[in-house]
Amino acid sequence: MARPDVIAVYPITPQTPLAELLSKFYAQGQFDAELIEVEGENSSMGSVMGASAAGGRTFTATSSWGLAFMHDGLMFCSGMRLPVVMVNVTRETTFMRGVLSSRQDIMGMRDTGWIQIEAETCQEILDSILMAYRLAEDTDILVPVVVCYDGYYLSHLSERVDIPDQEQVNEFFKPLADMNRLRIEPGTNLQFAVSPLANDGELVAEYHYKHSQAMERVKSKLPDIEKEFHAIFGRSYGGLVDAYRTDDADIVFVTAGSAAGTVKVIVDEAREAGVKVGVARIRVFRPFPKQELLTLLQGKKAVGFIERSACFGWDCGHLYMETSVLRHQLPGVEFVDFIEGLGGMDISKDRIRRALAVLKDVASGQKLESHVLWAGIE
Amino acid sequence: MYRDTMFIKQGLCPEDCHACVDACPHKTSGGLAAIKKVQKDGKWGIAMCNHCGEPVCVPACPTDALTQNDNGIVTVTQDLCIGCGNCERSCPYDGIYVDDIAVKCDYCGGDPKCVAACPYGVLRFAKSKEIVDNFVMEDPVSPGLPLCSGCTAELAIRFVSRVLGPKTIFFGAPSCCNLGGAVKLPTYGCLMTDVSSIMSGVKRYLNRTHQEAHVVGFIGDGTTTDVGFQPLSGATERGENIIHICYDNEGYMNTGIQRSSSTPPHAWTQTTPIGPMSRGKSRPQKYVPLLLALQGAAYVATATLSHLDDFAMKLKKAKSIKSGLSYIHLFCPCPTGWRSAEDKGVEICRLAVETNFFPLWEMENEQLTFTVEVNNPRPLADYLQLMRRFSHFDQDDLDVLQNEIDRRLTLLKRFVDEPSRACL
Repeated sequence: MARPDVIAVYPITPQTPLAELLSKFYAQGQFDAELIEVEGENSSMGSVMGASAAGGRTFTATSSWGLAFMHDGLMFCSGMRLPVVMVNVTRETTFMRGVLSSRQDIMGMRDTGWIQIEAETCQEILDSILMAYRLAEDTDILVPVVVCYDGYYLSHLSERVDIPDQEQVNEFFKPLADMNRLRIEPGTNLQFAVSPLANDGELVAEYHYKHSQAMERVKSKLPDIEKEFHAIFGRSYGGLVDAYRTDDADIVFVTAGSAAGTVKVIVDEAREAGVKVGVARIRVFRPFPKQELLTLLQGKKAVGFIERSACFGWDCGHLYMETSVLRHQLPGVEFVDFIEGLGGMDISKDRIRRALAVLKDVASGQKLESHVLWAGIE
Repeated sequence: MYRDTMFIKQGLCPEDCHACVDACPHKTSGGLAAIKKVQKDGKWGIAMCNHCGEPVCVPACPTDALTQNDNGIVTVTQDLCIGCGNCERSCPYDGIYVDDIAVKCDYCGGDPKCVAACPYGVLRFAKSKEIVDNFVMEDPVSPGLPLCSGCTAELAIRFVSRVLGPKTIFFGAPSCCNLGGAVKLPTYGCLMTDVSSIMSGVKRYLNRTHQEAHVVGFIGDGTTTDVGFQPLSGATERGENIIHICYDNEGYMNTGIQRSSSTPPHAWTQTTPIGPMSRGKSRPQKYVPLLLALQGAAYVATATLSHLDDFAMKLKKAKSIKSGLSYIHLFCPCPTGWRSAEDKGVEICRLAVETNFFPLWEMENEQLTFTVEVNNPRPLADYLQLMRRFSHFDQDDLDVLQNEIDRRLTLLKRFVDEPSRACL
């Protein structure tokens, strides 16, 4: 539907069904693209970078160690401002060769300068990929985008989705038709290369600054893109943060990915019982939605972070760690970190009920021995 | 205009051999040979006409009996010659003499008989057509490159870019020869890990959009044989239609002379220094051209700068490959890293070939052939003495290196006799 020109394919659990299906669709003639069956993920990123630099629309997908293996390419790609779109099926990166679900792998790419979007449902994966091309190829942005979704919970379970018509997608992609960007072309004199100026500190600062500002522009562009998306496809997700029943809440859960679905169920259950609770699902993790969270968490009694990753060196989870930057502007708001879904541990309704019980205690003034609670450790 | 050239290895002729003289048609038709054996410093060599670019004999002739044609060959018009001897007196090379009338070499019309007659490989006739026909005259690489004085990789990139022509996109990695901005062609500077994958992606998209261009990597041995080998092997296996030229200076020279897997055994580098615990690099040289040939690359060749016609021919073949990967392994002396004289670069190339350290071969259609025959290899010591990176060599070190050379040659000869199979 997005009509990529070049796709790089290399298998890694739990992304493999994606790689296999793409190959199958290709073999059956269902789409027209160059499929490159690379010998490793570093080459997945390299080959889509090359194709993108030459002017093509590209796609690849990976997970965990594959994502790590292309780490140099990730930085190179965003630094070159190439509009690559990639999927990462989130998975643990641990010394034990586990293949289990978590957000640990994508936390390892926080500083690579990519736009990071996380989906809650299969429908949102499809929709986010379409939106990703609109973001990446916007000439005011030109930053690569990764659409992330939970290994197994979203990669290996089936869900009905609404597949748009090609005409609808063409309509949505109309603004990309006149894309004018630098590309590698024969017969020109364009250098995508190491310039002596690359060792000029001020020039590097300028590049980093512009890159940073381009990412910031996602914050204003995405809501507009979602409005357009809604007008064409009838769906939207709330922009950078998907806020569910947070307006009048005393207690707010902050989370990302498919766990938000479970949290929403408990939110509804608790609301029935008169507890004013909501959940803010961070949909766009990079650029980090500072302002949205600040506005949303203002005046709340307690905030509970439902994590699927551990931030080494900070002895907490990543959502807690990054949102803590806003603490000085959120007086009186108690933060509690629930490191729940490491190593594929199910974030069940009971786990959320337990977390809610802790948050209710905190909201009513009780002191906790520790504000970082690791599931499986108590 | 083609200027063909006779290469002569002076000082190697045995005293009692006159095969070249006896084969000369001037002699076999009843006159005196146009080629002579001469002695200098106790060694025997050859004197013959050099067909100079600006021959002094031509203006010296009072009757205009000497003329130079468009291909640079100087000939005597016998009817005009008065045998005055002005030409003989003016020639600095002892290449023309008078026996009744002037006698000189005329390259036998393009197929000199002396070359085939010589059993010692003293003479080689190099045809310039291969180079001239394929050489774009403007050097697209800018002057003033920040490369070392005497860098042969610089000679190489200037030659390569002029033979490949204007429909080329160059790819580089962080290395000595990362062009970035210094060439009138599109270039893409990659990381060491992703050159071959980036090139694959670019070429696939160019093909898809019907844009014609040679996608060419000019890449050092560090990336090619070490950190970038996996993607190169992957691109070869997938049959990506790209050209990879490895300029092999046998080490990571850009970062200051460290060993790569292409460094020869027992060579000094900054990471394989000489001391009681170490005789230099302890491992054999990883011979990537043969690895890729066995893997099923479409075209593989070794080349160097002392044999530019051979090199041009191989570049032309690489250009013509429309399916699959072409790989050229280029032997590139580095005066800075090898501790050799800046003006000895090409000579070191020639000696590498003539000692069989660097055999010149190509593989296409699963058939491996030597493109330059070395019938009487020079002793390895002649090559080693030009570089101080081998100055610590004793007999044991020499034996190790000689064994590696012999082993490699035996292996290559086996593939000549038993054609290699793709994808073993």
